[in-house]
Amino acid sequence: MNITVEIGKLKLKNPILTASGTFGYGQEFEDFFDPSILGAIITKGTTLEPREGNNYPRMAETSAGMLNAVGLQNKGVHYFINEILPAIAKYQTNIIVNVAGNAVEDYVETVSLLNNIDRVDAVELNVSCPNVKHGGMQFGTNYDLLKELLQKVRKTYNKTLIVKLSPNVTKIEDFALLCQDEHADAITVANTYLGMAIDINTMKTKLATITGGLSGPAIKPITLRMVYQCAQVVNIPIIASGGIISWQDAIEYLLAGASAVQIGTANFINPSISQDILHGIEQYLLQKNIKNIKEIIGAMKSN
Amino acid sequence: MNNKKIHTQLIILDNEEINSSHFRLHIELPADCPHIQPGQFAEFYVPPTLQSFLRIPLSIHFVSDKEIQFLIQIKGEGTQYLKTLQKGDKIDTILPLGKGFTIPTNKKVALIGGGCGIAPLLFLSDQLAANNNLQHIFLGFRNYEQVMLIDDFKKYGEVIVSTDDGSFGDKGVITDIFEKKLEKFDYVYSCGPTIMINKVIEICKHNNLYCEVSLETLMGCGIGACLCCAISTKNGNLRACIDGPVFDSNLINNLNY
Ligand SMILES: Cc1cc2nc3c(=O)[nH]c(=O)nc-3n(C[C@H](O)[C@H](O)[C@H](O)COP(=O)(O)OP(=O)(O)OC[C@H]3O[C@@H](n4cnc5c(N)ncnc54)[C@H](O)[C@@H]3O)c2cc1C
Ligand SMILES: Cc1cc2nc3c(=O)[nH]c(=O)nc-3n(C[C@H](O)[C@H](O)[C@H](O)COP(=O)(O)O)c2cc1C
Ligand code: FES
Repeated sequence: MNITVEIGKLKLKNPILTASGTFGYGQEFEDFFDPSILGAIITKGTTLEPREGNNYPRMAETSAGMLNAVGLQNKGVHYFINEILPAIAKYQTNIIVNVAGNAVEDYVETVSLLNNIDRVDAVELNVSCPNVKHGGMQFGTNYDLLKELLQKVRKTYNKTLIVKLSPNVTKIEDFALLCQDEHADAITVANTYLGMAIDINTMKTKLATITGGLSGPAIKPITLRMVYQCAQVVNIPIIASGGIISWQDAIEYLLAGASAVQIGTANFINPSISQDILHGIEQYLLQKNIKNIKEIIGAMKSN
Repeated sequence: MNNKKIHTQLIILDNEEINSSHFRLHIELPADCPHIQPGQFAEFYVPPTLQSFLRIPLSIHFVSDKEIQFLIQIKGEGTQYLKTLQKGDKIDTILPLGKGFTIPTNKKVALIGGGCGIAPLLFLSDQLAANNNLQHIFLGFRNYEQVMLIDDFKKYGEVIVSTDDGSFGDKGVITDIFEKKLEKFDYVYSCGPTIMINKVIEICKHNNLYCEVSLETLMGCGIGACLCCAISTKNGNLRACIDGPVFDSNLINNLNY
């Protein structure tokens, strides 16, 4: 059975990736399973300068989901390169760095630093973080701004470039096409949905930032629809991210046109869920007698 | 570095009612259980409901050679579910998580707990006693109905109890009693409501006492991966689940939640 997939110049041994901000740097999960079995690890959002993130409370549970407003807390790209990367370089899998910024120049400088680092196999450009005041989602929801960003980043970064789109737009296909036109190697569909929650006893918003990003099983049907829509218009690979908690969810995304999937919030419920999902997919292919996983990518039929 | 964690199905040995809102779960100590420090916690999986689906963090209340205990206050659906567990039932658990309390030897120490915040202090007290520390244990409750586990703590040291309304023990908040009976403690430990912790931190700072506090936050993952459990400290935002939940109180900026 062949379950390898290609994303740009990357060859993934399987289509299971862990989503940015939900898997730390892999080390947190070592007691539960070996991150080397994954197709790739995607790091926490990394910025040029260190960031403290937002005030507490940063999360709230909602029906079949959670809101988060972490606000890209991270120690900056230099710390990542010098301190974190050497510790995770041992994983026999691809390391994809999720990059965020306040301004175009921040993104450009960050990716230019990562361009020279061998062990960084790809960059996932986060233009869709709903939890920061400047930058973040602003790039992912503004066509012209995103175009400028992609042109400058693409000039600087020549390894595999993935753009993580915001679902908080009217027509995600336009943004998907833009990424393809500006020579991104792949797109991730999608980040979290802008949402909010209020504590009716204290009458306060549950998040310090009032609004935050909704993730978890609640969002799956919507993101699935967006993956399908994007798959209709672009040829570059699509990586799905949204509400996957089982191998069945992952298969659905592949059928809708995703070449790979990211496991996010589900890591919090079962830290070894990525491994379970990988096994589930293998069993499914075996049972259906499918020799190559690529046969099911985009293979959905309409009713 | 934190110690090794396991993710496993544990067997309930007993579900002991303590009072109308608290119960104590006795769980079989798994054969492969890593060493547990007082102050560490576990994450329980409870069946998802329409309202919630994340795990529930609970402090390790006591550890013996046969069992691990948890002292639980019924809050919402998750803790209500745990209340229904019976002998022989299984519970999906990740443990031990986080960083625990420092255990010195031959020192004079004070423990200050409020309400269900006394949960991690019993195992702490047990380990402090095992290391020859002289303990003053301050326990505060709302009223007589809420007073619990006094006899469990009496095994380890002098216990001072207060209730807000004076219906049992001294009248008043436990931090006031602690302040009145202040001595040159080498270590002070505290767990309880935020308002109590802030007061303990203030008293210790004022009197130059070394203090460790156990802090509760909302948690996404419990293992250091999501950064939802931020605690504002002198060293920036730290994670309650892995850099804590026990912190040197000197590090903590005023808790405002
Ligand atoms: C490290 C740690 C150790 C803990 N130890 C204990 C313990 O030993 N015994 C015990 O009874 N409880 C403990 N808690 C609190 C316990 O996790 C919550 O009471 C529980 O998750 C509530 O779940 P629920 O589904 O019953 O209620 P929910 O419906 O989820 O919540 C009910 C109320 O409790 C609040 N709440 C939920 N989770 C937390 C939380 N993690 N911290 C503070 N408030 C919360 C909610 O905002 C809400 O107001 C601990 C929490 C942490 C972070
Ligand atoms: C706590 C938390 C932190 C996140 N941090 C980031 C981040 O730093 N960068 C990013 O691109 N996405 C981030 N995300 C979004 C996830 O990577 C993922 O795209 C999203 O949660 C949807 O997938 P899910 O429903 O499987 O979680 C975060 C999500 C959560 C829940
Ligand atoms: S709860 Fe996820 S990092 Fe602490």
